[in-house]
Amino acid sequence: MDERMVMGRYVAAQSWVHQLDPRAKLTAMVLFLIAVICADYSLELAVITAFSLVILMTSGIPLRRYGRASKPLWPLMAFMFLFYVLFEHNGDVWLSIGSFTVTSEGVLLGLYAVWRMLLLVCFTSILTFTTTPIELNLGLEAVLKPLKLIGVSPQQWTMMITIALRFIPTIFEEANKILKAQASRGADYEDLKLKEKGKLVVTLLVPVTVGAFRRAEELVMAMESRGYVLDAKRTSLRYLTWQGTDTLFILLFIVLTAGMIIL
Amino acid sequence: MAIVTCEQISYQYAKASIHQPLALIDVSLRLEQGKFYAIVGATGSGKSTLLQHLNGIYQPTKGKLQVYDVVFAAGAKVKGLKPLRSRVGLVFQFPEQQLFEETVEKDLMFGPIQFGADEQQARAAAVEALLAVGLDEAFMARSPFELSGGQMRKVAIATVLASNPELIVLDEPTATLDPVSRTELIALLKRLCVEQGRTIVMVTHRLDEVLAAADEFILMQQGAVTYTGTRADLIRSPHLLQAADIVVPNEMKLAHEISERLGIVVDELPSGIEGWADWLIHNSDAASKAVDRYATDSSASQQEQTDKASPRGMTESDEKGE
Repeated sequence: MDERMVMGRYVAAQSWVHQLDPRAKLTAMVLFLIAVICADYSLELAVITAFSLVILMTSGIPLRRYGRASKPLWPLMAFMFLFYVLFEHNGDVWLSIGSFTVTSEGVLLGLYAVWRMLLLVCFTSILTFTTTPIELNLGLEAVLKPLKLIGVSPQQWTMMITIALRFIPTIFEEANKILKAQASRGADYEDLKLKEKGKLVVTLLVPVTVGAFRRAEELVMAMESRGYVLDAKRTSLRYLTWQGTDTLFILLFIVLTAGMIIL
Repeated sequence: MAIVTCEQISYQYAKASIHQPLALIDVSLRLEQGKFYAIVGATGSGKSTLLQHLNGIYQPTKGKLQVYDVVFAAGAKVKGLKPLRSRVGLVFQFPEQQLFEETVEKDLMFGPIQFGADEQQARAAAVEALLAVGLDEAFMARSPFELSGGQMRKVAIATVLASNPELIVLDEPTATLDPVSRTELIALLKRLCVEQGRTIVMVTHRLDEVLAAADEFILMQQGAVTYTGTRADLIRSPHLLQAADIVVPNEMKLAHEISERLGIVVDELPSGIEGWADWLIHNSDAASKAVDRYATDSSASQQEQTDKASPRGMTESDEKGE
């Protein structure tokens, strides 16, 4: 299970993407999101794909790893594709079964949707793959700073996000432990039929949720006993430094996004 | 009769990675039916990894392992281990994290039902197991998540006992238990071993708690087994314990001190205060002689010291006098 969970993990490497300022990367991600949403034609999507491929390939992390990061979302992608295929009625009719019709337009839109999703997941993985959690935290706090104006504390939100990310592997570990205990007591996940597998996974829900709450409570107490006060003015051990390459990186994305909006 | 044979098994957690060190290195062992084994080692010595091989949760990366009639050879994943797991009960570390049902009763009945018991048999087994770990039937209806840490641990141990395994494997079951429950649990395991002929394998990093109960001791250090043998052999070689970073139990220290200072060899280590009192009564002659000898020896050596000291004192005063 540990080996398969690659989404959202930092991968140490030396590359220009690793060196970038997290604020630049976060802003670029938002721009990228807008660009992907605005791209309607295969040519536009192809341009974005080429653009992101260049960045992914120079990030010092094997492409396969990005592919694996999208794996948990494959069922969702398949569902999206089916949805378009079955419920879009425009275009040439290729096949019709009962009230469902498969049309050229439907298949095309379905493919676009999957393409977009893949682009988004693979490309946004670059953020967590090339940025350490600490950097990410600092970057988020800086990017969310404007929210202070409307009375939302960026510090609280970044702390929440950081903790949530930090506990993903822990919760998986906990679930794994219960699966092992169940296997020892005669219900081996790998030996079971699909229906029984589903039942077994449902039994994990309660203990894992209870465990998460218990953990959260313990964490709060541990933080408070070490003097953590919400929204207290904090100093930072690390500072972010904005460099020329960061500006350049953002500019690239602004050009890309503007291009997609105009076209 | 050997029920478990390990032939030079090694285990590596992440197979793909070259940097991952081996968690087990060339472990060879034979476990016999009906004995109480204690696996002792410092943290990170591979105890838990070895334990989880005994019911096929982990399967060896190298070497060959046989548990009852199931053979695990390196590289071949064995599936369908249900029959084996009904014979080998495994209590994991932090057992309080292994409960998952809504009530204690359901959790206790999960194992027996999986292994083919009907509801009535399962319930009877559940009650029996619960009583065995020292909890009463009132716990059956409660949710495992509202119990205290120690109670959860006992319930978790009971969930494994409920399936009535022939080989009971426990990973640090006594950690975080209070001293009374600790001795009770060990006594229960010893009873299961002696009265019902079950084999017990228990991992601990505290040698003192199993010193009296276990028949065989297995020391582990950095993934390798450094010693297997009986208590008597272990007592004679305390250096092995120190090498494996295991705290030498006070009883062994006492025996060592006695043989060092009084010259009496304590061959069969007495257990507990009563054991030592008995030992003292049995060996009162030798002990009193030894104590006398020790007293004269020490007074003699004190005399010697004053003898040595005085001439120097004289010369000093002589020098002063001059």
